[in-house]
Amino acid sequence: MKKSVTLLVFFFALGLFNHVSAHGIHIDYSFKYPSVSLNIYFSKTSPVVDAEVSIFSPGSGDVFVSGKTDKDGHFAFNPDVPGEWTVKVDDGMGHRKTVVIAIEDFSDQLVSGPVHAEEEEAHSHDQPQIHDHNHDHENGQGHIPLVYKIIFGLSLIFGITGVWYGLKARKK
Amino acid sequence: MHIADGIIDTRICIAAQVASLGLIYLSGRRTEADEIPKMGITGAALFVISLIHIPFAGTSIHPGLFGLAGIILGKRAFPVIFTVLLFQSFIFQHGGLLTLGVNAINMGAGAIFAMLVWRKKFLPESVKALLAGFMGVFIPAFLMSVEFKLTGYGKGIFVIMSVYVLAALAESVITLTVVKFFRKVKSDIIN
Repeated sequence: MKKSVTLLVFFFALGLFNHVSAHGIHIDYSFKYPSVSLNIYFSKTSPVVDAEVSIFSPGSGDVFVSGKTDKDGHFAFNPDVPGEWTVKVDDGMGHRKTVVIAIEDFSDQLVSGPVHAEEEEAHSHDQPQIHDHNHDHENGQGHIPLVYKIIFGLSLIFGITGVWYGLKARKK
Repeated sequence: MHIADGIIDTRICIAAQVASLGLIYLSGRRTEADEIPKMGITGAALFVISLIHIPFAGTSIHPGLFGLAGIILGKRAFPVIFTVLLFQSFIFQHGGLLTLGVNAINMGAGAIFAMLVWRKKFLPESVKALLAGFMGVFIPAFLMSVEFKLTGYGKGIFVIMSVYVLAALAESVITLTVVKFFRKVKSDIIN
């Protein structure tokens, strides 16, 4: 019975792990007409260098542009129409990530050039026309500080060995 | 050293998963209670040490302490390494779940070779420590290259060995230092 409970706790812990684990690649973006800039990284100090990036046009699904990230994990492209742009990143080492970036009210900008003051006010900040559908998901899972992860892992290791030792010692 | 998912042939990964489960049973059965704290402490050290990345030759290397794990734990190093890799995969996204068996066998083999070297009676202890530390990196790197080759990568993958030979030399010095430290402060840990 006790063993079953221990196993249940262990698998529950694994379930939690699964919940907090994130994709290896994280993508931050910024949009300032006419370019979308992408910052692609594993962690704040570890950019995804030389990864294949493919940008897909809204609707058609055709590759609009592709290329590789630079030594800082940066990639930029100039969208020509508004809509949902799909960004696919593959570092060639098993890490892949796909995000969708929605660019709204883009035609006005293209036609009129610089954004009008009212529009800026309406959007209240510089990069409002863009949002990442996966952003909430990323915020929820991708930015756990490393020190917490270390403490979490060490707690599990010591916890498991502690329980194991307790069971063995009792048997003795 | 941690192979991510999607690189190695899936058949090799599955075979390694099955083999590693068998090895866990063989190397972990009849574990005495007295051995468990040592396994926990060594596992914790292995878990954290891999986060120290040193940029080198266009890539980055990190200490693994698999040789030292072989010296301290003997065959019990294998289940410890498997567990540590499982947690590293979940928490840090080092390696992958599908390649867990492959990684465990690679690195566990390094520890087992280190254990075999450490048990040789005719060599001086310093030489054994240096060799064990070296084996702890060299054997996993060699196995990794073989697996890449079996998957279909070119022979150029063996060039990676040259980087790991230097890493193995650095690790052998670390292992020797730790062994000498243990010999002074708590000799029975490495006996």
